[in-house]
Amino acid sequence: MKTPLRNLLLILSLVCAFGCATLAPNADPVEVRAEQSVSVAFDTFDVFLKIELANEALLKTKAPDVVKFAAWLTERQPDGQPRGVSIIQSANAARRAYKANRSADNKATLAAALAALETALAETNKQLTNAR
Amino acid sequence: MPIAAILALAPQFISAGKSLFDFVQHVRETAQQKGEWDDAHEAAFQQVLAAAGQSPQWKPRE
Repeated sequence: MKTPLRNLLLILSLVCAFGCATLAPNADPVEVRAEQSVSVAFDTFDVFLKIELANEALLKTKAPDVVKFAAWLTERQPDGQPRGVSIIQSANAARRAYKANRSADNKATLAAALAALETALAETNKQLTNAR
Repeated sequence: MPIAAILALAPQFISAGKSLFDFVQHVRETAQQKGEWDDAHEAAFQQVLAAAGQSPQWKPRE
């Protein structure tokens, strides 16, 4: 599966590019990090799920944990959305609340939401590697 | 700029004979964000998330 590897390398390059980017003057690092994490998370989840779906039959026998994680990521939540989208929406809502009011409480809520998002992102990257 | 839009630029760089380094450098410059997602960006992002729920890859696995 060369395409997953190419996609993984491209995503890692982009993450590095974003991570190394300089901040514009007056930019809030917390807010910029939140924007980047939310954007990168959706694209990473989406690429992972496309690869998993396209190779589902093979992965069921060769890498069942990849299939299991895809099931976890797509499981519908009480809000009717797949878990991956719901995690992103939670982080984005916290980002917007922090942007509207940079209070300590909102910052803590955003940090918690980003931690959950980045944990899911790290697991997705791990499973993308396993899908090779 | 959404990552999908940035990724769409990759073929232009390759066909122009530029390297992956050039592309990453371009992304790096593009990524000098101001922490200013505007309403239009937010609306576009919400549309992407809403559409995700309908895409085959986002359907619940059996």
